[in-house]
Amino acid sequence: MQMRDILIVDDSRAMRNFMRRALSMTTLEIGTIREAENGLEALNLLDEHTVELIFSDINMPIMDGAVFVGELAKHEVKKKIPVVVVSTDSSEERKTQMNSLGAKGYISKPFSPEQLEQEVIRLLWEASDDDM
Amino acid sequence: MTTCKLADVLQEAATGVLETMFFAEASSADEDAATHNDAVACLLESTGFETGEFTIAIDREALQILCCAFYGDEDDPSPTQQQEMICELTNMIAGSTLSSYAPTHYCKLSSPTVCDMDRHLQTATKYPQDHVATINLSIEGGLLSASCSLRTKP
Repeated sequence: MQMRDILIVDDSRAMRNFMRRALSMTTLEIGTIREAENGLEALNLLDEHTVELIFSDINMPIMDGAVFVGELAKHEVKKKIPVVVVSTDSSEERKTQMNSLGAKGYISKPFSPEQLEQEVIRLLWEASDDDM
Repeated sequence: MTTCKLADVLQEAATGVLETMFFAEASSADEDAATHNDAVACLLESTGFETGEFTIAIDREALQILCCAFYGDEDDPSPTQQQEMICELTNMIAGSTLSSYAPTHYCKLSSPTVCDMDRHLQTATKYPQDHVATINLSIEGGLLSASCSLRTKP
């Protein structure tokens, strides 16, 4: 499996660290992991760097996850990057909202590294099917 | 929803978060053991369908052990790391509780903030007309207690 560069978007440094650790505990081939504290910072980072997968929180200052995903969908290149929402909010209403904005996956906290890996593999398989 | 149901949901949420993301076993604390020694507390507020607050308190030794598990680092966690971790723990327990307690309704959580123990103890008594729940869990290193006080939007 090819190395995947990843972007983690979360205002909690503790959570960004945990995501890094959880990803390292999976069998996934992870390349460079970049971080952003909010959606705006993430959009600016994506102007400079290419990533294959984005994990995004919802509740963030400056630009929250819903607005961030909506902004990605307006961009021809950025909208192709799969986004996995990572949130404590596991309501169907929220999942539906984020899906309608363009998010491809959703992980509710708390989650195990195994659950994270399964969601990433599912998304990457779907993305490779779309490319065929 | 009854107060008993809220306590069950809070307990299940706290236990699930501790086991899944902090790799920590938790069990209900005996009444005799449900007293904090040198604890750190954290508060966050909920608005929306369920309005109220959540507070978490952890004995400092237990907090350090949880930090090491969460960060995957055997070195003593810095005060900043400890604060960040208890804030994230509070956020996850509160979010997980509300997702079970009010699964079809929207609730917004504030950013968690570290508070003193007196503030944590107020949560169970501040709004007597609310649904209130307090749980005490024994974890490695000491006691973790969680309190919430919620008022449902009519």
